Amino acid sequence: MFRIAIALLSLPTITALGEVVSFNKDVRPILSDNCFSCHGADPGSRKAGLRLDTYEGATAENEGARAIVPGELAKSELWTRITSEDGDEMMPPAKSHKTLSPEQKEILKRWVESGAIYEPHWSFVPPVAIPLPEIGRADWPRNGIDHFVLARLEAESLEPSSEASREALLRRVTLDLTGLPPTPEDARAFLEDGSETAYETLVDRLLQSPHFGEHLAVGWLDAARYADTNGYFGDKPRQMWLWRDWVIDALNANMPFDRFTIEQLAGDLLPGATVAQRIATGFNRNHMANNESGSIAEEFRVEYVVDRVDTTMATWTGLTAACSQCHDHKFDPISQREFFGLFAFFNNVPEQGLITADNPPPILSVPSADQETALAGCLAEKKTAEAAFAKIREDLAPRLAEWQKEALKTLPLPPSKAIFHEAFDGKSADKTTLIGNAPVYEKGVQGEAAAFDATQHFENPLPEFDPDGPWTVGLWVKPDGSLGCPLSKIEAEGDRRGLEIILQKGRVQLNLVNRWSESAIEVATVEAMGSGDWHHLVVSYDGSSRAKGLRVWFDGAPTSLEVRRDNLTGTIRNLEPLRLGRRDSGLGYYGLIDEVRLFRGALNEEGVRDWGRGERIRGIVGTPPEKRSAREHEILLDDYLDHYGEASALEARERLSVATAGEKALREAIPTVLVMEEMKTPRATFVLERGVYDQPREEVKPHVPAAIAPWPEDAPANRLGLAQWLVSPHHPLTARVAVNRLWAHCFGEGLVRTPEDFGLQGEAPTHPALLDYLALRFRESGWDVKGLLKEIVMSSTYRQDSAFTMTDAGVHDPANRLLGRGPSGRLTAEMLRDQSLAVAGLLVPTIGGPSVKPYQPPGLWEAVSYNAEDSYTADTGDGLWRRSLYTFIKRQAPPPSMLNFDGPTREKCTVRRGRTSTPLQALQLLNDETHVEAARMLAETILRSPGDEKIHLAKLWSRVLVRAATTEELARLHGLLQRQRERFATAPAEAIALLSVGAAKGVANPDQAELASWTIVAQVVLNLDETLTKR
Amino acid sequence: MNDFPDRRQFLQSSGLGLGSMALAALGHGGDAMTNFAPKAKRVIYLFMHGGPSQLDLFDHKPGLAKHHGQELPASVRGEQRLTGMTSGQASFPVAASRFAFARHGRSGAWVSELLPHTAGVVDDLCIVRSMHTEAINHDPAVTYLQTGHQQPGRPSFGAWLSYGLGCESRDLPAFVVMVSRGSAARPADPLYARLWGSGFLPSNHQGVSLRSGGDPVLYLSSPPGINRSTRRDQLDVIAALNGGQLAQRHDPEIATRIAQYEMAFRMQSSVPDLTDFGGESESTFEAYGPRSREPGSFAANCLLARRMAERGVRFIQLYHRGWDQHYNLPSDLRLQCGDVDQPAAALIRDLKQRGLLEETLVIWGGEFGRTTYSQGKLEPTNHGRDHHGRCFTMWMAGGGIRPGIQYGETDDFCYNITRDPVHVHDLNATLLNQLGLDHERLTYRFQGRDHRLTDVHGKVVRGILA
Repeated sequence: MFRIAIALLSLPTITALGEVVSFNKDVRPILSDNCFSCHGADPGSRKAGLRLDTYEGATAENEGARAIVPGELAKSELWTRITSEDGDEMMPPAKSHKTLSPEQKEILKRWVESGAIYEPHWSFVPPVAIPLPEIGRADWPRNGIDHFVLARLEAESLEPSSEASREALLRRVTLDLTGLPPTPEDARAFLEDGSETAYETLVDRLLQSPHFGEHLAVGWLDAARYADTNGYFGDKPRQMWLWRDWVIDALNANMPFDRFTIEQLAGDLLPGATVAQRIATGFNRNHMANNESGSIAEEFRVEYVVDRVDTTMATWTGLTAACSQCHDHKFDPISQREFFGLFAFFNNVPEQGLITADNPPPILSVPSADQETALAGCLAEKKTAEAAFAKIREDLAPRLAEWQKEALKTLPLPPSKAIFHEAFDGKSADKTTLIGNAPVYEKGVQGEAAAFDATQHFENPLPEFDPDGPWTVGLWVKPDGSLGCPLSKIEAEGDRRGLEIILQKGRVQLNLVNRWSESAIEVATVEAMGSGDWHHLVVSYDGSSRAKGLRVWFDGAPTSLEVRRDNLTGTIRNLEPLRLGRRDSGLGYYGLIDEVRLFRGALNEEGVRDWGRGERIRGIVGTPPEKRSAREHEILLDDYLDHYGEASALEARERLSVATAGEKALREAIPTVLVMEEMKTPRATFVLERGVYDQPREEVKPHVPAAIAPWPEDAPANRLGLAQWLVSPHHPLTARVAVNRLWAHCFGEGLVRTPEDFGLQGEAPTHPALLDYLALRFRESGWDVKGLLKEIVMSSTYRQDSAFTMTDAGVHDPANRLLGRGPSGRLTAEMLRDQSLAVAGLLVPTIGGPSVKPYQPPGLWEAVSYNAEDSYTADTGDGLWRRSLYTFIKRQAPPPSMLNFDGPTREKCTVRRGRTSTPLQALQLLNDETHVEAARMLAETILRSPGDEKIHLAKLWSRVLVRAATTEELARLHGLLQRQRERFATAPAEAIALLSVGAAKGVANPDQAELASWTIVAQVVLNLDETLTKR
Repeated sequence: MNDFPDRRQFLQSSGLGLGSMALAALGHGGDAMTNFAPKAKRVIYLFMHGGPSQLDLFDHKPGLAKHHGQELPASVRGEQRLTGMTSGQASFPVAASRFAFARHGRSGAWVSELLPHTAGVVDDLCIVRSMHTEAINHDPAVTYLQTGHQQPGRPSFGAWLSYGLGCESRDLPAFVVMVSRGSAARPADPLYARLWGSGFLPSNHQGVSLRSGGDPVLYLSSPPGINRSTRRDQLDVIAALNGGQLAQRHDPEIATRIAQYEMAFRMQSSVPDLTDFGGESESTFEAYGPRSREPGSFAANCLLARRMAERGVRFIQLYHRGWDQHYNLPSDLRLQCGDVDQPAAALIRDLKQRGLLEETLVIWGGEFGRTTYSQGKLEPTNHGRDHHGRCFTMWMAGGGIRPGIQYGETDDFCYNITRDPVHVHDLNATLLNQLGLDHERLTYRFQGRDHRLTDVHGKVVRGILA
């Protein structure tokens, strides 16, 4: 359906005979679609040396002929060619798959005959003031907008629609200006206000709402490709929310659009740039950033700069600059050289193509005033604590040295009688064999340790080990990977009988298997071990065939276990060897292992603690002090203090550790944001052949496409100058594009229906004079965004009823190109969810802050992330019910509520969202925890309010739809309510199940069957087309 | 239960073609845009994510044994760009394959010992050994193969197909994606929603993930406490109330919405029916292998793929992760092959036996191949291979592709193509061709330009057509 619509729209207007053919309206679309890709502005793809996009080119002599001889059809080669049926001659050629219709040929004929007059493309001619058109119905217009719209309707002998009902208008304008439905209080205030100015009062109040900025920001975030992760490959989280909050604040403060432009493109270059102005420049750091090892850094750095050019041009000028990265634009006046002229403005950021930090520099750290004070206090305290502890350390040094002389005599030894001990000290234990590559040996806990890289393991048949227990195994590990198996004795296939220890992101998993997934114990530690350091891991099993017979210690401390399976009913003995560094042929191990010991029987707490301590401290004491690492010195001192330290020393250590932890926590809490900066010496910029990063050609300086607008005098040749160029009075596009976006915000479609293309291939405006009128007013008003929106929503055009009219030929003007009815359309992804939260009383209205994680089905991140490492954990509390623009966007796996409802993935600049209708949307609105919970809370709010059943049903309806329900509508709801009451009366467990969806707490002890019945009815109201649609 | 009679009446009498609207919204773009008679109706794409090693699986190079451990000649390596993972390597020792090859079938195609089941169906396969791509890293290379562009933003293959051909099924989506995890020890590289995204096409063309845990399709199950009759009751009331609005406001969107809710209701039974293996015979499970009953395994996904083919899903995309053998190639490659060999071969046989292979195009392969030289040290029993885009192997079956041939040749080092190169765009042009679509005419106007899956490139590879 969509496709067909597009095809119709791109047909040229058929001029009635006798009417003058307009180049812009009638001729250019034909030439642009069919001819310019070979006979246009790009010399690289030009065929036969002919260009048809200029009068000079089209009329020049070319191989003895002229494509166009104005006024003389017969002499015009163009006419010969487009009417030829000879395969070698005809144009467009067959292989282009393009053909001209008889109507199109007729237009070209008449145009050539009438002198082949060329006109510049409308959007490159600056708007000029036009008097308001004459109209017949003088009582209809409320402001200038209405004059243009009515004039057009009257030209078609049509009437505007009548005004929408007050309720419809209230809901429409509240949704448009705040993204939320009206609150009952707002509704009452407006509906009871009988004054002439009631509507204006409402509009003014909405424009002052802090939710205005949130709602307006969403479209801007789409254009700016705002997200919470880096996008490529590893797709790690980044912090950009300070920039998002800047946008909200700027819109709420009604920052003039020229200021809004300059600060985002070049805030850092303003004299005395404030923190806020530097945050604003995050606009052009929202692009994706790559961390895939092996990538060629320059290839991606160039990609980032290209992205800035494309995004900036698309957002402010509606032009498709991207086309001219590889060659001169085929349709619009942007040469490849000019593309790289724009590129040069954005090419001086001190950045890397292959990023090494999740928040790739340049970044700005933005502590709050409280954080700054706290940090200063913390640093002072840390300094004092350090000094105090340094003194103690110094005083202790001789005692510690003395103690070490005798320490080996007093330090505990590992438990004796190990049936297996592997020390990795050059010589392996008896019967232990190495399989695969030799490991690298390096300094370990005691002597050397083996470094594994999953290409080797050790095996020992160890017949004396009975895994059916009891037994205890201990080993030192320093893992270097998120998943690995340091120790196992398990079959690779079949029953997979045996035992294995697996480390996953620091958590230890233990599997004791008789038959895989049928008879086994599977447990995992709740805590993770921490990374980057040695840890002593001890596991013991009492042979009970029960999960509770398994115990795990990290560094001498018992740790709790999560039981995943506990149905072991047979032996776990097998014929496999004990393996170190691998599970079976599959899962290997990355990292260091040292001192593996295996015993029969169990140990007590103290035994385990002494074992680890003894090995670690003996290892350090046995190492000459100059060969110890700083960490080892620290461990030794800590151990000495633990056992022999005086109270004052322990207190000093504690004080330092608290101060250090405090500083770390504070620093991590200070938000950062990616920003633009200029390098002191700018990078040279070159035209890149075919746009390829390693094919530099001539050098270019920063400059803009000459044909669009003149460069302002005195503007600096940097991003600040570029921003000033965009908002200069001679720029033909910026104001039109901005006005078009705001119009589309209210009407669903812009006056230019291709907001992504104001160039030659885009659609002409439906109301060109209105667009220019608004563009000029916008600029002359000081780029007043709220002012323009107010003018739009105050117009009679906006206030029309949105009902469609039927004619014999079907629905009249289905796309509302004549604006003969009010706007309507499905709510956006964000608005749908926000509406449910709002009417349910769940919405947490906090503005701004870090992104949040509401409900999401499990497993979506694991399915795609590197090694299934990233997991989505929903927030608890407020984070579940914040406005949807605050939902965390992971580009690799965007929230399904966004993807299902035409939200972009935020990988690239998007200036228009689609508006599809699919069964997956119905499934989400009916079944998603968010919406089911909202139905329950909405039902509860209604039931809690005064009134009887009839009043409650009426309230339920009007709370969501604003208008009052009809008798028939209420009867439908009432019938459903009765049937559900009957059902839940006999199925109380079902009622409880339905009411258990969602974390929101309702009233204590409700009548469950009654509330469940009302929840069912509330779901229906929340799923009505009228609810999902702005009308 | 009170079933409002006027709902039915309304649906029948509205004359708005609700059924077709619902189809449109599930990926049906109206009439198919075929340019000529299609050979294939649908595609099953077995994507081996990470880049399987062509010279250990299909592209047999017996002559490499005598170069084993020696430096790869500079004349072979040429000027090509290497990934940052090996560009700093001082030595590029040739690593001959450690796996035995043999010729199989009447066609005598060479297949490695790692793929014994695939070897059993070679006479149904067209093995293309001359695939090539400019991309050298996963993210751009996979994005390239699936969207025709290395950077994000374009529609994926399945979205193009949904747009171009629409949906055959009345109650399943046109484009379904399934992901399985490989057995290799090495961590699996990431995937991205964009690989089944709709780019600038309307979002109803995006792929629908079919998941092995939780709801097979997101939000498919009604919440606890709502059974099928309650849901029906709710939908009847919704339809009646929406119908009232439609009568007043005449907005065609309302009719579409009514149809969507009805299709959602049908999906609540059609999807569980699809994923319920209850009716499959014991011999089918045996054919697809020991993991075919394990939800989420590649084997189970292959069986699901056949069930979707039977039900008219247009583009069935499987991703099997874990083929990035930078290290531990000998052991990890064996594990990866163990995951896919039997199920993929079983799928070919199963489709054939049911008469579906002729109209179903099956593709097997990854985003690039792997280097002939060892990444890291060449050990007696172990080594790795880096990414290699200059030549790699894919196979196709069914859908009017010539079976039992090997197409294209590479040099003795399996480094450069010596005959019949097939570029990513050529592959995509050929696949579209088999589906009845001219890759130069399947276009969508976005930002003023008529975009294609194959950009401005691509030639149909006539030599592999039946």
